[in-house]
Amino acid sequence: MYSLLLKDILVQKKQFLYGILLAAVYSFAFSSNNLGGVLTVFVFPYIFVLTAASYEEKNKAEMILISLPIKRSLLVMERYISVFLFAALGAIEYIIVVGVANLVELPIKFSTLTIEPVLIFGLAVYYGIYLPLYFKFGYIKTRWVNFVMFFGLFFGVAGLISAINKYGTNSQVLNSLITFFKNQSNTVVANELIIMALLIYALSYMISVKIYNSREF
Amino acid sequence: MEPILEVKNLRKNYKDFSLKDVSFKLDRGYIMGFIGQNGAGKSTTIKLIMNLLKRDGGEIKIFGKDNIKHEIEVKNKIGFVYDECYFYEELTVLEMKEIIASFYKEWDDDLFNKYIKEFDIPPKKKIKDLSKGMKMKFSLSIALSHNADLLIMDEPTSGLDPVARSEILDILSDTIQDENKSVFFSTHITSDLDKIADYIVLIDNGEIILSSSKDEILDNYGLVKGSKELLDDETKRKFIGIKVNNFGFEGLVNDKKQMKRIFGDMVLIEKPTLEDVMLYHTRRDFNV
Repeated sequence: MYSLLLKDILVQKKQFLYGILLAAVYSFAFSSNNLGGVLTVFVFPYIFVLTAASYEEKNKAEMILISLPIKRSLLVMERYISVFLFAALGAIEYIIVVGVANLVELPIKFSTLTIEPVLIFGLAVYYGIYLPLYFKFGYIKTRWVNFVMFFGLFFGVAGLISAINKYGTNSQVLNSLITFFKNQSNTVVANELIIMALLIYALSYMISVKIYNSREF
Repeated sequence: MEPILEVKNLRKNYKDFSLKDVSFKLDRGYIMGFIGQNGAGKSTTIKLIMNLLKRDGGEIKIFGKDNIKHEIEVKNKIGFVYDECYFYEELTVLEMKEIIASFYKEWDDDLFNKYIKEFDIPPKKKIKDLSKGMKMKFSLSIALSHNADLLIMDEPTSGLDPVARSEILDILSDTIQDENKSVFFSTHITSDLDKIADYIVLIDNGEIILSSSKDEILDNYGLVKGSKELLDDETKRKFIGIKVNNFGFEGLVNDKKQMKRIFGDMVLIEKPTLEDVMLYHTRRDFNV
């Protein structure tokens, strides 16, 4: 597993320098609402998981990987783990950027990073949907799906929140869901989100293994 | 002792192509050449052996074990070289080696270092900066460095210059000095096999049409040349393939002694090359 993760880092090691720049830009641009860290952590897997997949497809490296004594399920698991590995690397780069900025006392306000359970939930749902499609059709055929999902998520969530705020909600299901969460403590909600994230991710992984086991190269 | 590789009634169906009951076996200590035109089914067979494709029927046993049920175990003892470089070209030779080595139980770093030194492969160079010959030698170094008993090679010499080809063939000959190891080698450059192969399997349009030892083929087959007046319907039937022009005919037979008895000194009988054997078996316009 370590070697598989390592190859995804090594093939794009230069990209981590751009990652630093990205973290700095997000931190500065979203300093007013403290969203820079969250965005960096969410955007990192989008960039790095997809770049790793694109190199794999460009080199047709799956021919080699599948021919090695490795179970296909391990190759699938590596992709699922790499999402959170790159999210963690995003967090580390972000902390370094903000830390250095504080250290040299730049006269600019940078937002700090808070890892919200909703972020982990978001990553699990996002890649839980995308990865089975990727394992079925490969990177090239699914990159537009991913592009649409990514921007759909940002504009969709923002749109939904403003719509709910503006018009309220007439949906009984949604109302009862909001009440359900409002009546619980933050810790309970956090735990529920993490458990749901794990369940969704595990289910998605099982679907991907099934798909990848029958894939031909 | 069980064969190192045994393929029985292997089937794979596509819309426009089928592998039809492909069967052959390879014993320990030998090199088997798997020949046929492009598109005959060589790569499909190799991909089925490596479980890159899913078979529709039949059996594949490697070291006496099913290649899917015991996939990890058998792959630990297989070295593979494909027709193209499928490594991450952005990585250096050493980086790629480190990643691959970790998956083999019996990886031998000293042996790998010996090979890359022998082949003059610069370890810190990125794979994309290696020449085609170098890439192939790197691939071969990887395949030979984990104590594999079976080497599976899909057109490893295609696109290489004669010097690089000859070097690769020499390495294969050396490998086979160990009587426990075998090589399964697909190619359409049959001259590669004239030197090193012990057995030949010829595939055409998804079917095995010849499977025999190379010496048996070269001893019994004959390339017959003579005047076209000698040919009639009955004699024509004795040929595998025949080519007739204004000056005479040239044809391949699988029993040159019989030809000698029929025509005596009226024809010239030469030893065919493997290329002749493949061409006369597979070219539709040569068919009798």
